[in-house]
Amino acid sequence: MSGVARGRGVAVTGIGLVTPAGIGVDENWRRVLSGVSAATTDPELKGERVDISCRVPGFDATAELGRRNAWKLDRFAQLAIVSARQAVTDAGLDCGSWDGTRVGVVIGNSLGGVATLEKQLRTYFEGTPDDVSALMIPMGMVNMVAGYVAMDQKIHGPSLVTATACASGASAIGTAREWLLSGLCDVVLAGGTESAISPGTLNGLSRMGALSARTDDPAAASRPFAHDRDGFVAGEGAAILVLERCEDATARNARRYADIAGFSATSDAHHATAPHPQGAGLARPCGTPSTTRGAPRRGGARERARHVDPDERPDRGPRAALGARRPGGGDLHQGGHRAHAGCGRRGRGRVHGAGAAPRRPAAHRQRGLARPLDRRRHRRGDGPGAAEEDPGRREYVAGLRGHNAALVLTAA
Amino acid sequence: MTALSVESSLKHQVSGLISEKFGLDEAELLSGATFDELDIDSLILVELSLILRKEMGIVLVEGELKSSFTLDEAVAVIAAKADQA
Repeated sequence: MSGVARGRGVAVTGIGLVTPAGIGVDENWRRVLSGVSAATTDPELKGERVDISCRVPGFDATAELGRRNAWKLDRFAQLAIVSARQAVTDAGLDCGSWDGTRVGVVIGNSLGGVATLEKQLRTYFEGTPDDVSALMIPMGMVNMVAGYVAMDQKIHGPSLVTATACASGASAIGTAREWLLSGLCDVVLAGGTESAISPGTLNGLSRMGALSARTDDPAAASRPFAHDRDGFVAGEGAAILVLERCEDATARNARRYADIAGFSATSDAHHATAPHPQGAGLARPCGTPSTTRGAPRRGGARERARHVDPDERPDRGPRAALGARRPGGGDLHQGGHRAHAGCGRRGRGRVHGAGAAPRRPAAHRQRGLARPLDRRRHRRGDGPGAAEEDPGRREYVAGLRGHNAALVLTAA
Repeated sequence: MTALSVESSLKHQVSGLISEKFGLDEAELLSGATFDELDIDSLILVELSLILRKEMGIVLVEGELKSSFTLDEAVAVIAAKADQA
């Protein structure tokens, strides 16, 4: 792996996943490889214009967190707490024994507890303001998830929620990397969470034209790179990583799934929902990864970008920015679009994939794929051991309002 | 019913509600611990007042239930309100 300075980056040592593809890494990986879509008709959206979604199947907050805690938390926080617990256990760490002052948590989220807010606002507008729950605001605010994970994991270092729409999870991972490299923390839990599948929110997304209207065939609805795509399917989920400096991970003989070798972020400063037509904001983090110490500058890059505007080609920005390279394509189809902050989980899939596992199939990849980008690199880094030849996989994420974040993932 | 048995019945009604809505063990509630010790903070006491009003028609003024109260102390306040009603 020439060109990559080992030990100067940040290592992923733990993974937690609570997603429509399952609870826990193994369940997720199996489901992702199966290529079976998680989209389905959602009884809680009965009668709505768009009544399909990807929910986490069988998530029982009371069983996971206890009745005493579960009722006080909106689902976006519940999912994150369970995911964080998995990640810490997976990393071989224990919040009972670590120095919590050296641990931080940074989680991407966009819409917070909108289901709670909607329910309580309905009560308010029905003319019974005294019946509104005193927990409406603490359950609804986006920052609360970082605070609750900190409480659950006895984290006394920095806690933060990054809100950069679809880039939120990547922003969180990049922020965590900076905290570690600056010496602010020794361990950081970083990732994304979102659970915003409420009627009012989905109606708003539908009014934007962002949601697929293929409600008669949910499993075929999500096809972001197809000619006949008509929007995304809302999903929910949380994915949390444990990050440590590479030398610390090595010193304690921790398993390193992958390294976060680089991070950069830019803003389009162009439009509320549409990406820059030439992908200018996306090109800069990709082309000039100013904070990607030791990261590869070219070759073997695997790029990916997304946004919600159905009138825009999902690949237009990156194609303009990067030339004719093919996007990764894949789990966006399968798990739905975790309304905004789910890209943390997309990093997760890549991190897991970097460990020389088979390339997973994409649901509906064959179904009318627009194939706008060059397929020449299709096979690079796909098979077992291929990650060793691949100097770096880049994750590019574009968020509503022109937030762009780029991560460089390398094999550990 | 005697005043004592009314209060005792009220106590079980309230502890049942708290247990059901907030996921607390009734035995814990009846142990004489304060709301503070049971992680029932001021926000949750606002919720409790809301529930008492909706389920039992007892209207408490904000701040009448305190997190330093035990269940018995809270029930005494609630019983006094119920008498007024």
